Amino acid sequence: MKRTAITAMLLLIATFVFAAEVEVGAKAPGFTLANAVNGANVAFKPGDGKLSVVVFTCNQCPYAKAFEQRIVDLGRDYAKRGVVFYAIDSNDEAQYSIESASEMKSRATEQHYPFPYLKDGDSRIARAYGARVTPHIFVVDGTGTVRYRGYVDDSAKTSERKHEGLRDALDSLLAGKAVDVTATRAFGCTIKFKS
Amino acid sequence: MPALIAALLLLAPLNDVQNVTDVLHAFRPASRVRVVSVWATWCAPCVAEIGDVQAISDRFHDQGVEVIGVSLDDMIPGERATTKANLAKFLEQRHVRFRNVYFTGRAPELAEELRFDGSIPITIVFDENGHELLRNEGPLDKNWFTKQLETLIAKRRSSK
Repeated sequence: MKRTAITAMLLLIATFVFAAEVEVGAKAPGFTLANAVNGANVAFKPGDGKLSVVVFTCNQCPYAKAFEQRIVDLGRDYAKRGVVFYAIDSNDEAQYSIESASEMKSRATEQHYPFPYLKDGDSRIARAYGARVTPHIFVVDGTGTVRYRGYVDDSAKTSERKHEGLRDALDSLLAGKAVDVTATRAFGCTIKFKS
Repeated sequence: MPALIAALLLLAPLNDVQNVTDVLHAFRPASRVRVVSVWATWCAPCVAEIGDVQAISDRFHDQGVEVIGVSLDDMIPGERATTKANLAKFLEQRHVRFRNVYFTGRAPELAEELRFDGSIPITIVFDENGHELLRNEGPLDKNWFTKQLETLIAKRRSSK
């Protein structure tokens, strides 16, 4: 009985935690954030008619860095098909100076990011999306509806990859088809939220 | 902990595990309370808490509690033997005596199996039958976790 109660409580907690993540089928939160590369504001207005990818990532997380080239390649490839990528760093730079706008600019420049690298200094946008880790992906269709959330792929190792979550979602949506796997478990470093 | 046991633990191999079943099978049969600490050397909060995890192991190992660390170091691309050697070196340098296993499966699948949000560290306590008793998500709250374990052990003793 006691064990059942504990399990039920844990399930409730888990439900609460994961409910914070924007659900597939829900309207995506919009934002206007400064691009660390040039200081210009970039606005994402869900429902702008464009298929968009919101990527929560950062500078210091080794797991995020392991996916960095993959995300850059996907961003470059799918831009040709009209998909817009937004990379967002929501880590608190007061805790980790490597997450400052100047460090972000250096990283984006060195790694040739083909998309804006946006500073979410107060972590507000990560909270709005319920993003928990880096990397954490949200795919938003032209109507502003979240159509996929979760990981980029199920392994950072190319040879061990079984499921390409982000690519599959984009290919399906671009083909006008339903996404087979709409939600996966993002894994990575905890976002260091601004308190 | 007797020096001989400590030395033997330092020499314990980093056995590969691929899922939660493998992890739970890694515990000694006599261990009645099984603490799983999921971590990686590339995870700063995990590295920061490893001394506390060792302290928990030291504090409770005479009371039927066994701690096993599940290293997710393999999740970062690299040559496995090198990564494993670096992990072993890290454990030695940090004087980590609780046993560790080396996860070679897929991290998102482990997160699904253990029902956590995909971020580490996380510490989960199981009984000898694999039923979950307790969890600490995020950095280990040592004082809270110690009290919870004390309560848990006392209750299990009184229910025998």
